[in-house]
Amino acid sequence: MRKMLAAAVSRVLSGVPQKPTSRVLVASCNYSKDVTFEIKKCDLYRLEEGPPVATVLTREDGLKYYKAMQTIRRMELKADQLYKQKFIRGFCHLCDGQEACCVGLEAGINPTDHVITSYRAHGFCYTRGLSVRSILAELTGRRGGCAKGKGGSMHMYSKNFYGGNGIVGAQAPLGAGIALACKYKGNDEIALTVYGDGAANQGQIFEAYNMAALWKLPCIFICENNLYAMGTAIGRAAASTDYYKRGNFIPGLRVDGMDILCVREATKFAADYCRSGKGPIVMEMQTYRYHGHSMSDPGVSYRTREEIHSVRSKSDPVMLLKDRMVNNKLASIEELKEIDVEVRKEIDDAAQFATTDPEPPLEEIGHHIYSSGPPFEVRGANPWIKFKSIS
Amino acid sequence: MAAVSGLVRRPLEQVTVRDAINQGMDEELERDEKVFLLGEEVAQYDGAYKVSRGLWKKYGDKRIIDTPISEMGFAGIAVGAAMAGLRPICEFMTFNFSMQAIDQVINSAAKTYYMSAGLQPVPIVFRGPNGASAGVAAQHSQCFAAWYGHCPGLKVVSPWNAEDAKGLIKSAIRDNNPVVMLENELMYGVSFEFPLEAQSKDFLIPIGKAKIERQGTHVTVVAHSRPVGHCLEAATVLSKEGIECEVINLRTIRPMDIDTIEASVMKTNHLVTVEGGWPQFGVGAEICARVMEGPAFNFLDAPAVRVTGADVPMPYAKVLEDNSVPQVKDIIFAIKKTLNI
Repeated sequence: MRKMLAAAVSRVLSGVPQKPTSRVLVASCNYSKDVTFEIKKCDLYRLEEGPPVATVLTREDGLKYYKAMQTIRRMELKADQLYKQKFIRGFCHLCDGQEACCVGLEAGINPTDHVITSYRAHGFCYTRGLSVRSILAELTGRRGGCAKGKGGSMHMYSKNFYGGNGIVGAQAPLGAGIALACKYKGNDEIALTVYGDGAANQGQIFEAYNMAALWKLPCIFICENNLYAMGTAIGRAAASTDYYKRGNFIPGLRVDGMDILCVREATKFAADYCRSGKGPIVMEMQTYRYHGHSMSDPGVSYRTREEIHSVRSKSDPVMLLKDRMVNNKLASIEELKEIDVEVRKEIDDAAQFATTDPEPPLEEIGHHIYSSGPPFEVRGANPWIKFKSIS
Repeated sequence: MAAVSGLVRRPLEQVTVRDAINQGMDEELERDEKVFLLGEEVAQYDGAYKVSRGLWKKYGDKRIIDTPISEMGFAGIAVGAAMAGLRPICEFMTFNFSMQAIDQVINSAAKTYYMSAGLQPVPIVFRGPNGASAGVAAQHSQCFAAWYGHCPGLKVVSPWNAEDAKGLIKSAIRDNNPVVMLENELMYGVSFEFPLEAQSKDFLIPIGKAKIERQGTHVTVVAHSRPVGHCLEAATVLSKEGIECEVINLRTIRPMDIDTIEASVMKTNHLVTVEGGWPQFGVGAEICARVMEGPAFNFLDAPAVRVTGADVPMPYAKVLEDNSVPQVKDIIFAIKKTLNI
C-alpha cells in the first residue's frame, strides 16, 4: 500500500520542464512569440493513440495561464486566511496545488461547453467566469457573493457551470445528464464531469459510466486524483487505483495534472473524442493538494510534511509554468512579478469587499424557493414569523 | 383551467386514470420538444403499468428512453438534463425505488434554485405509483407523501381521479420547478367521467389548490389520492343518517392549500384527515398542526382526528393487509367519534 502511494507520488513528482524543440525569436522585442515544448506521454487505456507529446505555448497563452493559476493560488491562500480569521464558516475545501487542472481543462474546451465538479470548486468557479470578488464574498456569506450568500463554498454557479456539489459523487450522473442535453439538442457541446479519487468509488459513478457509454453521451469523466480522499490514501480505499481504467468499457487516459500543457492537450484530445460522437471518455489527472481535505484538516496526520514539501518544490504547477516561460524567453521574471503584484492587488481588493459587504438582508431568506411563480409566504421559526418568498 | 370550447360538445367520456396521465404526457411531449420521458420499461414495454403506452411508438428513442435499473444514476441524469435546459419526466417504477435516488431528488433538484440564489432552475417531474398496492408487501407499499412533502424547494402533487391526473401532470411538466407526482397503482384502471374542459389540450389544474369534492356542513374530511374515493363512499353512507360531510381532495401535498381546509373547518367545526401513509409525522399530522396554529382552531368543537395506514410495515396476508390501510368503515367510525355520535 505504501509502495503504491509512493509510486503515485513519484509519478506526480516526475513532471519536469522539458527542453524546447524549437524557438522563434521576434526581432522587435526580447521575447519569443511561442515555443514548442515536449510533454509527458499519457498512459492510455483502450486507446490506440493519445494526445500529442509536444505542444506549442504562445507567449499570450502563457501569460494568461500564469495569471489564472496565480490568481487561483492567491485566492485560495486568502480564503485560508479569511477562514482562520473566522470570516468564512463551515466547510472550505481548497485546491491550491491543483491549479493546472482547472486552468488546463478550461484551455482545452470552449466557453459554451459545460463543467460540473465537486465541492473543491473555487478554482473552477474562477475559470468558468466568476470574479474573485464574487467568489470570496460568497465564501464570507455576503450579499455581493455570486449566490447572494445563500450557497457558500460548495454551491457557486455560473453560465455553463453547475457548481460546486456537496454530495460526493452526485455530480457524476448530473454531468452525464448535462451531456445528454447536449446530445439531445445536437449543439456539439460537451460536458466535463469532475470528481475526486474518493468519489471514484461511489456506485453512482458506475451507473453514470454505464448509461453514458450505452447512449454515447458526450461526457468527459475526469478524476482529479490528489492521492487522498480526506484522510484515506488511495491504496486504502480502492482495489484498483488506476482510475483511468475504472470506466472498464470506456477508454481512458492518465494525465500529469501538475503540467498545464499536458492537461490542456489531454483535454483537447478528450473533447475531440466526445465531439466526434464516440461517447464518453475517462481522464485521470494526477495532481496534489497542499492543504488538507478542508480547513478542519491540517493534512499532516495521514501524509508527511516532507511529501508535501517535496511536491511543492519539484512539481508546483505555477512554478513549472513560470520556469518554462522564463527559461525560454516567453516572459521575464520582472514581468511575471508585475503580474504577481496585479494579482495580489485584485485578491486584496476582493477580500476587502468580501469582509465589508453586508450580509444578505433577512427579508430575503425566503426568496428563491421556487422559480417563476407568484410571491408567497414562507414560515419562520415560529408561526408568527413569516417571510415573503419571491422567485 | 382553460375555457371550454363551445363549438364541439362531446359526450362526457369515461377515462381511466392511466389514460389520463398518458394523454397529459402525450400532449406535453407534442407541445414542447424539450420534454422527454425516462425510466425503466417506459419505452418498448409501454410502461411497467402501461401508463406510457404508445408514447415510444409515437416519439421514438430520443424522447422516450428506457433506462437500466440504476435509479440513482438515471435520476441524477434527469436532474442534470433539467439543469442544462431540457424538461425531463423521470419515472420511478414505484416510489419505493426512489429511495435509491432520493439524494438526487432532494439535494440536486429541490435545493438548487435556492442555493444558487435563483441562477439555476430545475424543471423536472418525478412521477410514479406511490403507497399501498395489493399484496406487494412491505418493501413495495410505502407512501412517500410525508417524506417529499417535508422539503422546501419541491412541489408534491397527489391526484385522485382522472381529471386530477391529467391536469396535474400537465401543470407539473409546465412548472419550472422539481415536482413529485405521487400516483396510485390501484387507481390506474379506475374510470371517471372526464369533464369537457379536461378534454382540452390546455387543461391545467393549478398546483397548490385543493378541491371540495362534496359540500357538507357537519364535518370536514380531508384526504389525498385513493382515500378520497373512500371518503366519498363514507359520506354517502353517512348522508343516509343525516350527517353531511364536506370532502376535500387535497390534490397538492406541498404547497398545501391550508386556506381551503381552514375555511371548511370554520364552517363545519369538525375535522377528520384521511391518508394511506403511516400516522407518525404524516400529512394528517401536518394538517392538524396547522389548523391548531391558525384561525380555524377556535371553531373546532372537538379535537381533529387522523385516519391513516396502520403503524406497521405492510404485511402480505390479505386479512392483515386489509387492516393496514384505512377502510370506509374506519373513516365512518372516526367521523362519528369526532361528532360524538
